[in-house]
Amino acid sequence: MDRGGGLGLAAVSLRHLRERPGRTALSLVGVAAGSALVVAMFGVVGSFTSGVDRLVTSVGHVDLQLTGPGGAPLPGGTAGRVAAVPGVAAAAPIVRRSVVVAGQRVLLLGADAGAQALSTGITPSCLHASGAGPGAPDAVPVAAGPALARYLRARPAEATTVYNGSAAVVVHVVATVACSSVSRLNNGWFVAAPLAVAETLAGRPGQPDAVLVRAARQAKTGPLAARVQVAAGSGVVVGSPRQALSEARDEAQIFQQGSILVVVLALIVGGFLVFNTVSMAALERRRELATLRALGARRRTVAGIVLAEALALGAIGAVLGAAAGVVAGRAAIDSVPTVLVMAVGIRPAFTIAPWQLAVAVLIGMAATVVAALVPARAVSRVPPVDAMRPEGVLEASDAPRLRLGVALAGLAMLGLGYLLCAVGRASVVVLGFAFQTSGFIVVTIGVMGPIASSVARVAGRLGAIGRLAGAGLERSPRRTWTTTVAVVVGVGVVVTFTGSFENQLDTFSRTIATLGRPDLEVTTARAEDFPPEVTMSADWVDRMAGVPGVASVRAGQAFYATVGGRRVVIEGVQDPPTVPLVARLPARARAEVVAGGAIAVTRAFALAHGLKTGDTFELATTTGPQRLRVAGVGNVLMPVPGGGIAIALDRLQQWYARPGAGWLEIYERPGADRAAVRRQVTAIAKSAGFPTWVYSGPEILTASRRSVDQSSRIFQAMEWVVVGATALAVLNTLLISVVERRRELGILRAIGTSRRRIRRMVAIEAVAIGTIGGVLGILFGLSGHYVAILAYGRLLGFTVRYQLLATPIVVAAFSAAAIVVFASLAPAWRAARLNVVEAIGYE
Amino acid sequence: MGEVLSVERVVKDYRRGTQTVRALDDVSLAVHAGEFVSVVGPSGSGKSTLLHLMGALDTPTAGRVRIGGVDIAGLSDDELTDLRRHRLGFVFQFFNLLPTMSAWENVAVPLLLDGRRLNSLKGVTVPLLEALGLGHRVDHRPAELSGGELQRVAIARALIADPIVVLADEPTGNLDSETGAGVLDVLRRGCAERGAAIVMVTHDRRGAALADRSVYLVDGHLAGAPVAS
Repeated sequence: MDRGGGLGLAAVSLRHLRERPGRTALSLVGVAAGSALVVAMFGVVGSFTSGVDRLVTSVGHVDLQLTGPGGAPLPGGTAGRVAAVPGVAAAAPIVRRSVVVAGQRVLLLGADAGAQALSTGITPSCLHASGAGPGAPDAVPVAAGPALARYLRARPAEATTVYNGSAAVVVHVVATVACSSVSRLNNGWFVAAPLAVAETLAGRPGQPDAVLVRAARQAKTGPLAARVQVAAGSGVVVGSPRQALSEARDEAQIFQQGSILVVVLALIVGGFLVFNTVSMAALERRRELATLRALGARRRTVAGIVLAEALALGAIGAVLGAAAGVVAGRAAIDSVPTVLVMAVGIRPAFTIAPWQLAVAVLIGMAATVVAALVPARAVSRVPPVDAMRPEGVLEASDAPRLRLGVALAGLAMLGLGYLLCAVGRASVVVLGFAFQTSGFIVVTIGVMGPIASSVARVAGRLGAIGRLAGAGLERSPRRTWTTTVAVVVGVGVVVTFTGSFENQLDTFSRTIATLGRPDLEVTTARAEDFPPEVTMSADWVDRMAGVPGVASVRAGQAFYATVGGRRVVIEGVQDPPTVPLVARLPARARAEVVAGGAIAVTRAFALAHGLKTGDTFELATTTGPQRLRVAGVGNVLMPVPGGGIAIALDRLQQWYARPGAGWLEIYERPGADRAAVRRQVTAIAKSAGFPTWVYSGPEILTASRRSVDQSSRIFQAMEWVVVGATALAVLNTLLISVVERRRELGILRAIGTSRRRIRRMVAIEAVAIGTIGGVLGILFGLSGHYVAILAYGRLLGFTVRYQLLATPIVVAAFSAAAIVVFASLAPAWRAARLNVVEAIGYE
Repeated sequence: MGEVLSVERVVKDYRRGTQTVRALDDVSLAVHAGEFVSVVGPSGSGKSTLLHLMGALDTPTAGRVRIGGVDIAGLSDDELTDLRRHRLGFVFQFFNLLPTMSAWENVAVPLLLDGRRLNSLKGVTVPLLEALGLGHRVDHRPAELSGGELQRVAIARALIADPIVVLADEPTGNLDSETGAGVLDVLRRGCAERGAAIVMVTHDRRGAALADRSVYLVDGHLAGAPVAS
């Protein structure tokens, strides 16, 4: 009885991996690519949430958190009223907001002795004297996080100011916060001061940003929250201290959902590479495996040997991939667009937990084993009698045929994929994409015979040596198929992602076209770092209006707020509005919004809250809840998945206690000297105590496009990793096919075929495979392109217009050619250099 | 001496496209314990097909095959596999050694398949290799061995599990005459020491002459009655 001898044989057969280091390395690449992308995705997502988590936990033991609507400061005395509520053990006011220090956006933190009752991480022992000399007499002493402190030490000549949106205050850094529990807040970019000082730096004396509440023992949080709400008043939001964490997870979800699509594709490609390699290796070792069957190995033992090799490949590849993923993830975090960093509100530092690394390795191993199941089963059915047959007769000569059932099953998977992406919830979109990708590959399995015949026919048109190449291709439909489908996947990925990114950028550009209407725009942030949360005081409008040549100035503002438990953008506009959410509405709806009687919401926001045009929505504000009509729903992309709301600017300023403007739109008189106007506007802007930017209308559009472009770069990098892996798959298969046909090639050389013709034969095979693979790949890519557009719509709540483009197809065609040329060089050279005598005698 | 292997009126047909080719037609042969039988015939006579059926590597279209008294008809694939492992040994024309395993590891394969641990088998396989004159090559891989040495390792592998019959398919087909003679001598002595019968397919008349008896196949039929050498 074969009780487990397979284990010993499996261990010995792993030597095959060592014997073929090149082939093993090629197989590892596919597995490693998939695992690397999983780790990078985990790391980037985790980095967003862990940064916020650090901030949340730094405040200590907190049961409730009181904040102003939209981040507005709380009225003075709130903490005192809350502390008097029965069941409240401690109520500590804090300052926690974004300010600009020496041109950098940092966190401003402030707390008083009351915070000690919450066991916060910030204690006096955390402060280390900075060793700096005495500052200016009126400079306010503060402590800085390590990163900010290092930044400021490099600029000793500059006076350090904190700009809070209305004024700049000179500060002097007297200490660096050194406790590890605190020093990593916002990656070390923060400034800390006692509560009263921090409130003054924030421009809101006596008004904290939040009050943190610890419940007394035995007090239940739910009823306590109700009592606290009554004491605090209706203009205060009472919620969980982990709200920020939930919002960060929300934001990270954008990246996660987008990268899951690429990771799924990478795992499918990696798995396909393994399938490819295991299938080809099994063909090459057919006699060896038939011998084992003849000697008494059961089918499951032979299958187990193949699976053990796949598992070893998967384990090594996944571990290497995980290590590469850590490197890639760090690079990705450094290149995350600022707009996404601001959406979370925290600078992310690359973080990955050990369990996430373990999961990534397990996923890589699982994908490898799953991919090896089919070839393992096929190889276990090799008849033992093949051990006695000569090598040239051994290859399974399954005649090309159409497997209609398999093809139909693949079409069904394709259809299901389309359906899930078109109408399914966001949570099943990724599944839909996986079905679509796998379905296409399954269809090609069903039409393996016709694919091999087509490749052979293309080769046959390339001369006599091409007809010889074609005969070989048609005789080995399985080998021809695996090589062709590798090209299909590589080309398909290019068409899918290039096409969908182009469509996304095009739709985005169309929706923001109205931003280009002003002649000039002055903002307090780069255009690609929307929204500009730092504000200019109201007198800036008059200063700009006073510039000769300026006809009118309009102000606008936007900021992040929590509405309905999700982070959204709130925009304030004046007439005529240029923000796409309002500007693209019908005239009547537009007028309603700028008059202050209604709001406009994005499609994502409307979906989340079940709203449509004409419905009423209640907004929590510092002056109490405001019920407003929804004048329109716009297809506008916001940096946060929660979407956005647009209201009249004066309402925003009043309801959220946010005076001033984040940007000024300047309209010139006809005939004005444009260069002179710009010079004067720029001079005024640069005289501010905080960073400002001046753009023309077209410049704003270009810069805004850049943020979407930057966001897609990470995915494009992933796309080319996948393409690289498929090129290696084609190389791998062609190399194996040369080894497998050693005797045949040796016979050709023996009967007078020159080395040059042998090289040409291998090159023709590659060209034929590349041609059919390229055509099928373009079809695959066009299908994937359409599905990706559907998926974006479901995931982001932003409908992208599908457009068939020539560029991706041209790029794909070149990619197919490049893959084929690269992949055929080594095999062609190897085939031509075979030693004839050894090849003929090859066993 | 009792029968250890027999085929009774076996027929084997193969389909080639739309045609059916009869490779064996009503062949009967019995092999007794310790007997050396050679199966001789020209190319295409069906001798390899006969060996495949006798080795339970293939199933007959009609007729009966018995191995160690067990009728293989109706046995499942696992049962056939186990039967081969415990009762038969194989020596192939192309040696069929596993390239990543050393000589002693190759010999150990049938015992490995029986669930024994590899590191416990060196002490079992090395004495057999030494008996076959390969004591100095036990740790060498197949790529480092000569043709004669390869076939002797294969013979050791065939004998390690004490089979009742060793089936040899053109064992000297890839060897020069002197080496081939040496290999046949090793095969005969090794089987005789263990009481194993040999069935050898060959078209080498000198090899056939070493057998206790030869049977001659022509066009899938046995030519006349079995003839003693």
